[in-house]
Amino acid sequence: MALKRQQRIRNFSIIAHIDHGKSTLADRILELTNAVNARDMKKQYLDNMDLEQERGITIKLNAVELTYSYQGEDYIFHLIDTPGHVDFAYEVSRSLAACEGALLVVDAAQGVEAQTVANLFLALDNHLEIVPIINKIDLPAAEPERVIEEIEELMGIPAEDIPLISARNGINVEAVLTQIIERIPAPEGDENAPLQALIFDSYFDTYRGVIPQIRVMEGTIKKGDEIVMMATGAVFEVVEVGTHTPKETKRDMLGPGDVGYITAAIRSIKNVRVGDTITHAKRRSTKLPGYREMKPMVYCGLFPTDAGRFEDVRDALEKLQLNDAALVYEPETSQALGFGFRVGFLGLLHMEIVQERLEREFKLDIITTAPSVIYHVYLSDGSMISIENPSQLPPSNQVKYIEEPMVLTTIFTPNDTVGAIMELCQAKRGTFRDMSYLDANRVQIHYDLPLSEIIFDFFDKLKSSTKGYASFDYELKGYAQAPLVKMDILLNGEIVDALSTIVHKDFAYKRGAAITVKLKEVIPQQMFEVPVQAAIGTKIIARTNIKAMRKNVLAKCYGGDITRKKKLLEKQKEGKKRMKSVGSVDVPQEAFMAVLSIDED
Amino acid sequence: MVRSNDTKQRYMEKLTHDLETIDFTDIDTIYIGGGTPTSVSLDQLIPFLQLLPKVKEVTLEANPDHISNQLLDALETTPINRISLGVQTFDDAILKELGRTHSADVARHAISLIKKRPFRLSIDLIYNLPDQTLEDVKRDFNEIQDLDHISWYSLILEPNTMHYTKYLKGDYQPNDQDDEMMSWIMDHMKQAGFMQYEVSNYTKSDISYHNMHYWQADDVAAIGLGATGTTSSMRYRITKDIERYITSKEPVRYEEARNLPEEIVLVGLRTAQGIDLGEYEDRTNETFSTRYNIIKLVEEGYLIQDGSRIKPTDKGMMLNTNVLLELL
Repeated sequence: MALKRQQRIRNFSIIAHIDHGKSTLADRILELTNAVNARDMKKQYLDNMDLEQERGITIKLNAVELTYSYQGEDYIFHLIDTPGHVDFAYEVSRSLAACEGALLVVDAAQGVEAQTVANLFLALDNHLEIVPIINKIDLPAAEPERVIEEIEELMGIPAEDIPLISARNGINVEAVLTQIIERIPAPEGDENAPLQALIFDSYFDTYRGVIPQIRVMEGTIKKGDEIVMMATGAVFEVVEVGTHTPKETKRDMLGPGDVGYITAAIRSIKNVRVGDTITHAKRRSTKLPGYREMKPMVYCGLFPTDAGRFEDVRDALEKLQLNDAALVYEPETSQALGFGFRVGFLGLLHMEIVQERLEREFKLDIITTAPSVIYHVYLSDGSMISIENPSQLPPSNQVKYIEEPMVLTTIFTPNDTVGAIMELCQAKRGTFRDMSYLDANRVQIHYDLPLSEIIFDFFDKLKSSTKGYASFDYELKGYAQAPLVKMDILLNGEIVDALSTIVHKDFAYKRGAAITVKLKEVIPQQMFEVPVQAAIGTKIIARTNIKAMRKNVLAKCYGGDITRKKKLLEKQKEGKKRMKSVGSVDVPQEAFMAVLSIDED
Repeated sequence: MVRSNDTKQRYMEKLTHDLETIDFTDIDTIYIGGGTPTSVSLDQLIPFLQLLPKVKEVTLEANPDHISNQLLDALETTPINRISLGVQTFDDAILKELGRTHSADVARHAISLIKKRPFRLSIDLIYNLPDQTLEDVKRDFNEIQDLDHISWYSLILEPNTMHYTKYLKGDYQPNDQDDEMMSWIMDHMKQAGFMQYEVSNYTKSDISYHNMHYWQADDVAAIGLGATGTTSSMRYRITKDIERYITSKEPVRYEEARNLPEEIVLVGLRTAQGIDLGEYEDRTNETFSTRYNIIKLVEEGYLIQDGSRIKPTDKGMMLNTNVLLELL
């Protein structure tokens, strides 16, 4: 072999809009490089979290080392998977910082979508070589010529030799491998320079402690090295280095361009910060730029249904935070729900995933409150406070004005749905920015929207009003003043702090009516009548009543029915356990999210 | 039980065999139900019934369209002395919707035939049916004024039923007048001279002694496909697999342990007479109050203590499940 190892390394990610075939392409690449035995081949190998396979999305990044022979050389590929969803743009940029190139996968029928653009910009920000690929060319609706034009338009350069492939059916995937070798540059870096390695992810193993995933930029790292985490100053001795092939495989050392893991008996999660630089304790390098600090966009309260499990929730959040730096939390007390945490997320999907992981992986029963954005509240004394929990809003006589976060949304949609989208955005308090044609049938629209409106059913509405054809992405733009008020919900005459929301004055009556009706649906009948009210200050703006339960008895109970009756009683008891007693009212978990699922139409 | 005649014959032979294994010394009631009476021929049924001992109450379950003078003649040669008739409603449209093969007139005719004979009669009715209004319930109520015993059940949405399937498809909305209907029935049946002696059972003079055994958590022996019985320590269900039932020498039973202190409360508070504390003590060797605290339920008007008995109020009967959740 004529080339040095470093010359034969190619580090790349695959980026795409959701469902354009990123994970399927990754599977094919794994097969072609014989990384995965056909028998072990589970669909979408890289998505190994249960949740990821179920939802068909990638949440956490994974990196694998693959080998591929081309023109007499064994090339070493490091494929670093990236999440596809807008919530995880931050994680995409983490992956991309460890790469020299990115495969940009575009669906031959759907063409360029909002997240194609967002991910492409992230890759260009990281100075990556972009290799466009058109996937699903065997679909009847495929229009590769049109999609090539869209890509050229987007990148501003003629796109040469774009591989037209079908990852699902294995058509022309070798062309992708050839382009990875020919177009993506080998990593630079001097093996004799001081060690400089980027931590782009980490995970926790009960026996071996925290395991950082690293990309070596300069120098080498091997067993026995004394290393230092440059941001935290913590010093460790390396126990093992290796790569994922995708199984963990020990290596003697990792050099420039290598992507792998190290173990160093790191017990405390706090010592490893994703984005930090690892160097040798005795011969230090400079620090890599790291990542921009990712700020949560939405917050919600997380409360254990069983108050005794507060500490378990704290432990679980700490473990999740290990490889989810964007997750932030602090203890919170609610009069209605007791002790819990206020937790910040990148977006709604991120929030849902954390909730599900807490329930599944940590076996916790969690009650979540409706998510809230961070409001800037300007007080009469001239000061400003940030509020991420509506119940903390000071009384209105102390508030001069409130500002809410705004986002710039980019929507890609067929041109015959423009009317429906504009209607939706207007209803969500949007301000039209501009509109341009991508081609004869597809339009890109920009709207400024309050982030809080996107949290409510915006995405569902967007999908349903365009039969699923629209895609969207958003970025935080800044804050804008709006006539916002706090709306309280009263059950049986008492304010339930966990149900308070901040709403636009003009929408308060409608939303108050919708929430009270929804609560009436989800809160089971109690032994007494329960008034459900929405109020702004002391003024009641909407009211419903939950009728008292008058009948709850099994109609028949003879010999064979007794077993059934026992089961029924146990089920009802179990259901009761999952409810929170708020004052004297038993409230199920859904009630706290009711505010999200209301339909005001 | 749609089976070949041969299978039915073999089944009846096995049933007869099993009947001979029962010790009838302490037995005062027998109930023949659960599909067998209507799915075998008279030639198969009557000889079996003739083998039953003559005890205080021997009930046969029947559908209106099976009642004929020929059947009743034959039954008079057996120890059967009570008939439980599955009328369901006197509304033809609803009967059709329920998939019943009889009409209201057939039911009326069956009732008149039985009333001329020396059988006690009970009829089953259902309320809370899809599309049924309170006015429909009132019409059913008017039809049964001359009868002595009525079991009037609320239709409950349960998995694996026709209505549940319809409900899942969105073709059926459960009636939300369930509580209103039950209260109306309770009030008006009482005014009409019926006593509500159990959640769904009303009588003018004559309770079902057999069912009362269930509600007192007494031991009940069972034979036949899918039947459920008890011994003092356990509850058993006989297999629902007809071939296994017929061919097994030993009875194929699924058993579970009985918890008598729980069971007495579970079934006893469905009845107007409630639970006798002395009897509870005799049967469980513990005092009622060491296990159950009823103070709150009495204060809130669900239960009353009447001498040595704990009885449900009307409210306690309608909210029986809540009472049990509080107690157990």
